[in-house]
Amino acid sequence: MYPEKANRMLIVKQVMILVSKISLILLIVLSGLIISVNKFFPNFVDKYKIVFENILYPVTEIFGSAEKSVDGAAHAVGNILYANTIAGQKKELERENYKARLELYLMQQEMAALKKKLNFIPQYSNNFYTARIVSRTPGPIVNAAYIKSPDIDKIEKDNVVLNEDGLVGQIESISGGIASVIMLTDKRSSIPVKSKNFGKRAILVGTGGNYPRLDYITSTNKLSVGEEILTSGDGGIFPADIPVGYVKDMDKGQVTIETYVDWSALDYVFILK
Amino acid sequence: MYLFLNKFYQLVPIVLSSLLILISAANDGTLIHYSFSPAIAAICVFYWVFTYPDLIGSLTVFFVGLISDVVFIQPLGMDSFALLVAYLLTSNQREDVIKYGFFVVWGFFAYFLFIFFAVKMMISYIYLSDIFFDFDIIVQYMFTFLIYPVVHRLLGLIRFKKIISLRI
Repeated sequence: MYPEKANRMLIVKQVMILVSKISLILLIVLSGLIISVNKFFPNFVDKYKIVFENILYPVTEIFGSAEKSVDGAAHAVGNILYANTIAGQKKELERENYKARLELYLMQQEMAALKKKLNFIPQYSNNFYTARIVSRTPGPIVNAAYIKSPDIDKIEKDNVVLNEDGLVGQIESISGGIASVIMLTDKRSSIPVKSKNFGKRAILVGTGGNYPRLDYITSTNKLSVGEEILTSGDGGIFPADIPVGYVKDMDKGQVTIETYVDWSALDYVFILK
Repeated sequence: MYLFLNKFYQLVPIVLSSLLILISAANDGTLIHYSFSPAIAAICVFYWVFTYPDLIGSLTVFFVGLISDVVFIQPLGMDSFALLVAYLLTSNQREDVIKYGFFVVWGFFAYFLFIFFAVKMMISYIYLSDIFFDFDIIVQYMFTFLIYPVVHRLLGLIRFKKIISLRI
């Protein structure tokens, strides 16, 4: 090789290395900027995040349904093995279901009459929508989920998400046909709550694990293990008196909460508007 | 033809990494506890950097991180920042490490993973104003470290014998 050509190649190589190093630094800065914008201007990032989510969502759903199929197949095999028992249980459940529906009807009638007498002002709106959880990412840093609902266009950011057991979390963002939910165990979650018996106010903060904790609690004197925790309604986002969980442990002023929601069996949720 | 193959091969890391991230996200914590789901983005990036460095650049690392952030519903930029920092601090030591064989590379992966998790914890501290260090993180770190040889072996089934590097 001619010395001139070799020199030229060496210079090009050095320039390429320099460009690659600069681009790496620039990308680190860009990632840092994205994090900062995400923190301080979440609505701005959401617009672009939605594009990504819409591309990835169908694939996520395929893998999610594959996992559910494996789970379903295992259940199906189990069900075949216990077919007789299931048939017996079905009849019993049908009887219980009929009884429960009758009781519900009578209670609704009674409640309507009482509300009329009291001129009751409702604190919950009647607008709630059902949604299915299509993908979840429970982990030490985030506890969030994607949900799908036919009424997705009626759901808004910060709407309350709950199931039959209690509070689940709140809507973070909505795109195309899906919405992301921040669970109350997520580190980003903070919910105003109160104790049921003494109305002691606190903020329920997600820890990333299964047990959120109470922050900003003035004193734990009147609080005891097993005390029920409800939403306080302060701040106006979460309606009051939604069951959250109960005090699991009180150690050195740190109060941990056992949630009513069973995080391992979360399939369907309601969105309260 | 070779030019086309090169272009195709350079897409392989991002496509395979995305696929593995999506598979890993299918575990919603009901089948296996979430601590036992490895940080697959970190495994993929480390594998490509140490096995086929010509196929992976900082832009690929950035996009793998972004995909991981979106799939795992994390604050956007968290994984890409952590991966890029780990990539910056380890990629130039590749030549020194790789000559000692697989076990040293695996040991070095622990260092890469440590940087990745440490940066993530740091971002989490800044982002959430709270330290999230707990036992689950250690379990996830250990599990990711232990599962690396399996993923390495699986990804190793893909051979690029005809590749011609476009880089000088």
